[in-house]
Amino acid sequence: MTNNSQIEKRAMTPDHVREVIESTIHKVAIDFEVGPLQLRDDTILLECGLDSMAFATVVVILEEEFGEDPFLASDSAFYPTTLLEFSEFYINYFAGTQ
Amino acid sequence: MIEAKKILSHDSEAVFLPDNSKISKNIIDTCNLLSIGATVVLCGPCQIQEISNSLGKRSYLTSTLQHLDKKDEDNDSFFFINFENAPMPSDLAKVWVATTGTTGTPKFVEHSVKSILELMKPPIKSAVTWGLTYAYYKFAGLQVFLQALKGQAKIVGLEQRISSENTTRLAALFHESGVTHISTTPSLARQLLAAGFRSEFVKVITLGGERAEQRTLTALRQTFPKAKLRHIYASTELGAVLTVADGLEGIPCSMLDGNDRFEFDSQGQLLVRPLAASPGRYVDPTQIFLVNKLFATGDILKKYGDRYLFEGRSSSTVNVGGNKVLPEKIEAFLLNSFPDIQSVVVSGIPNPIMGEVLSATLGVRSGCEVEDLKKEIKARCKEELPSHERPVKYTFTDNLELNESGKTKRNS
Repeated sequence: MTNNSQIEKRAMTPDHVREVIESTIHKVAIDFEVGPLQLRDDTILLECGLDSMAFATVVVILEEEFGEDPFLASDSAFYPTTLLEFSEFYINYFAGTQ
Repeated sequence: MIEAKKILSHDSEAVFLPDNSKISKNIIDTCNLLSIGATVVLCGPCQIQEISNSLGKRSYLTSTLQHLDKKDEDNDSFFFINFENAPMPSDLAKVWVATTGTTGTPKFVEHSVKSILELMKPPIKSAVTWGLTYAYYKFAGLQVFLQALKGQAKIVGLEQRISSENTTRLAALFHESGVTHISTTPSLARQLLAAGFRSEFVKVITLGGERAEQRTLTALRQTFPKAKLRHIYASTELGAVLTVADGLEGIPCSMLDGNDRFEFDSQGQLLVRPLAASPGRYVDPTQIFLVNKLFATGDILKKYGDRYLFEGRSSSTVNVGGNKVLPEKIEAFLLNSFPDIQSVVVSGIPNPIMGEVLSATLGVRSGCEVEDLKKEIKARCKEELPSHERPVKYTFTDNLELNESGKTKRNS
């Protein structure tokens, strides 16, 4: 079991965060028997083939991977629509505010 | 008893709180006090001072009373009490039992010995040894030692709170003492089985406090083929309501349908009319008040064929994207489907998409391949459960903690 809390923040580069997000989405898509998915910056997440339950699962897995859930930590009700918005939300939380 | 009798003779409102450091002394004090018709207040060790303070002048801690008969056991780790020729409880005696789950000053229910032993028929003066697994100050524990008392039998137990750490010792103690009657929760029963408990002396096993799912009933039946096996539906407020002795989980519909003691609300919550015999009175340090005529148990039951199964507590409902899920139902499904799972708690965790989703924390058999098990569990959940009922997160651990009632500890 990887202890993600030990991953130093400087290893959480924007590229790394984006990569983990995309691979998680692909993994969940397989689990939910959806796909294969074409993921682009402007892909609208809830229209890409994953339903809300699948998406909820992506968020939970990302929390396990990164050790924290930026949605829980944030005060505002921000709902990213596209893959780019979603990734930027995570990137700003983990790699942006250094 | 001399001092306690003196106190009662000039203050009929006096109440007594057993607060000795030894469990066995508290049990003996309680039994002696009941024999002189006193009112005994039972609560956990952490609450005693607070309760005693709020009860004020009319409360007496038994550790401060002199001249109470004591059987001095030098043993620090376990006790063995023989109730042969012990004085029987007086009809005037009362017990206040604290209810669970309240913050601040707990609510108490006042019972008589009769209402505590409703549906219990302890055999008198035969070779019975009770094994105590419950906390003595909880309703279920009280039922056990009062049955031992009324039956003039023996009782054994540990001088400590039962937890995952001392289950093996408990199993050894029960076997060495020739325990014949065991009352326990399904969670603790599974732990006892895992600790290798299979004593040939066991004659009667009673499960209570949690849903007795089929897998535990079957495992007990196989390990103790000659024992009487039953599970009880009870609460601190109502006492024992129903016993089921056919070895199957759930309650036969025939016991509830058409019986005007029972009703269901629109949520499927079971409502029960207390028997006339059970006082069912709530007592708190400042006033006594009555339980509603129709008591809302907080338990949701659902009909499956000719049986009602316990779906969950209405308070534990998780809302997954608008779909209400009772996590206990998923727990029973997992326990019944996977023998490698020793204990499980399913609970809701916050989720930005669905509001809440289910998370399962599992205590598994040591030596079990966790990754393989997780894959199997996910596959089975996909086959059998709608998507909102499938746990999204799985955490594995060696064993889940038991709370002071012997039930698997739920996340708060």
